[in-house]
Amino acid sequence: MHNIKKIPTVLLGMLVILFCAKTASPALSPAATVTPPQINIGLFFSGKRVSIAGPILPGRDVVVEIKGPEKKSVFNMKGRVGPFWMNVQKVELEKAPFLYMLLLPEGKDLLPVLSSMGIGINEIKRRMVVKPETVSPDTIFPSFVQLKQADGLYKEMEGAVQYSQAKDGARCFKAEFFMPSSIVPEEYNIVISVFHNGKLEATTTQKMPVHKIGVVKEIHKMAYNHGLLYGILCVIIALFVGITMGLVFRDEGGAH
Amino acid sequence: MSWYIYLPIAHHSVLLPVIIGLGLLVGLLSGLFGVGGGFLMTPLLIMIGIPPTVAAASDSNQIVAASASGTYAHYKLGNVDFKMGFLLLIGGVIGGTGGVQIIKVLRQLGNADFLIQITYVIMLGGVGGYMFIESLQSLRASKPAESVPPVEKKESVYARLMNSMPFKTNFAKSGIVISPVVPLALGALVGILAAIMGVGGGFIMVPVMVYLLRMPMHVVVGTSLFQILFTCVDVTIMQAHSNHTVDFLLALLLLLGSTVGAQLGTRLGRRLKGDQLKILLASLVLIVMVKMLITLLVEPHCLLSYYGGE
Repeated sequence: MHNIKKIPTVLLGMLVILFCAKTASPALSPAATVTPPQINIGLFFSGKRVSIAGPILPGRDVVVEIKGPEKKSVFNMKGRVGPFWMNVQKVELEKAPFLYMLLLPEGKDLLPVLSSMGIGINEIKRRMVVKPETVSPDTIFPSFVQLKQADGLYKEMEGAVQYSQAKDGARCFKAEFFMPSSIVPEEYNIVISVFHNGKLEATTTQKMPVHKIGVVKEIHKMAYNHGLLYGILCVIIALFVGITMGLVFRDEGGAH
Repeated sequence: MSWYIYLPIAHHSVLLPVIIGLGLLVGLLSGLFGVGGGFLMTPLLIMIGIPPTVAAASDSNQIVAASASGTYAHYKLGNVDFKMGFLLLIGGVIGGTGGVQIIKVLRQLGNADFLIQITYVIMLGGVGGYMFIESLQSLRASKPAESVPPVEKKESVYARLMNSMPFKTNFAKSGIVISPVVPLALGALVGILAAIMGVGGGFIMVPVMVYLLRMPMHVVVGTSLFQILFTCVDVTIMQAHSNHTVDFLLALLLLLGSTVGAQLGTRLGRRLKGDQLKILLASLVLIVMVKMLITLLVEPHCLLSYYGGE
């Protein structure tokens, strides 16, 4: 009876050992450390440099994708009417991530392989859904990428993954990227793929949550949950500051 | 200490001195000319990466502070005609409500954006051009004016129409006697145009007060600011309630600069003659018009823009 009670604990222990054995093998499933593991958006947030590092077997290459969340985006599309350029229609895009970054090792021509696997900015064009359907993705995709790149949200960086040899002879990879301040607070996926001789050997996904904290969180919460009160407060504070400034300047004796 | 501040509604971080500097510049124009400055501030904010809807709504919030500061300064100088301001405001609210309905119908008919932009260019070009030429002639004529004998002018159709209006009222601050129907009707007209063009209407209202109501320029600036204050209070509350697009931190940073700018603008305005003020405002309006015209005629470098802009 006493031994029967121990069975779940033993099973759990075996599962843990199996999991550790698997993640310890860098070729099968890349174990990587993401620093920082989550991003907090506070009052003085101006973007964050993130690094990913982990062990890797010799002869392997690592490719890292950072992506998410897939939200509907709405844009104005300009067209020519007579001599004028103007907004001619509203365009909705679905199944295109809000942020997409691809970190590649230097000098390895992995792009054809990646393209066949649906990895890379250009592959987003194949997946995304454009509404109305009369608008071709080919027409708007370059402008869409241009807008995203201007905000630092879409990037393909060759040479961003680097390898080093540790003292004990083990091989490590390190990749760095910059999360711009224009990110939205959602969960982002970091997908690490290991290639051997141009073939995918292992892949793993880590979540990187982005949260608002402190004053930023409170203001956001109030603006969305108590819009009317928030608006009235904004007006009262603006009136107070405006009139106070008026009084301050009068007291300085410059007015009349 | 970080020079960056994260804006919770715009989802964007901005460089502190840049935002305060923008506020200072636009506040200066506001105090100087009696315009809200939205037609200048909103595109500048979009240029530094603020989403268009947040830029427009937060700008309204900061204009509340700048116009409160400017109105107070002008009130102390005796430059606010409250009676006239209220009549224009009532007309503006009625016209604005009607204008929103007109724009809804136009959008359903399609190509409303084109009509909006063309109206904008024509209005800016017409108003700016007329103000510029008139002020220039006035400035040139002001020197030898004393030696030239006054020429008796025929009463214009507009003047006759004004004189035929009922319920004549004395607007002491503005030094004019007209029917209250006139500011009500003109306020409504500006309200319609402002709603169609999507701007506060300050730089349409100022020429209307100068040329159609014949108010003195300094009273025009103070009265216009008084009216803008009420319009922007309404817009801020509506935007915060319905669209959640007012970024309080952005507005706060802008208004730190704009309230100081408005005070400086008011003082600077006192040192300038009415015609000098008019010619400066006309130049600004013409620059904005040319910029808009170029946007309409030159192929954009990017075919897409975030929905809610322009």
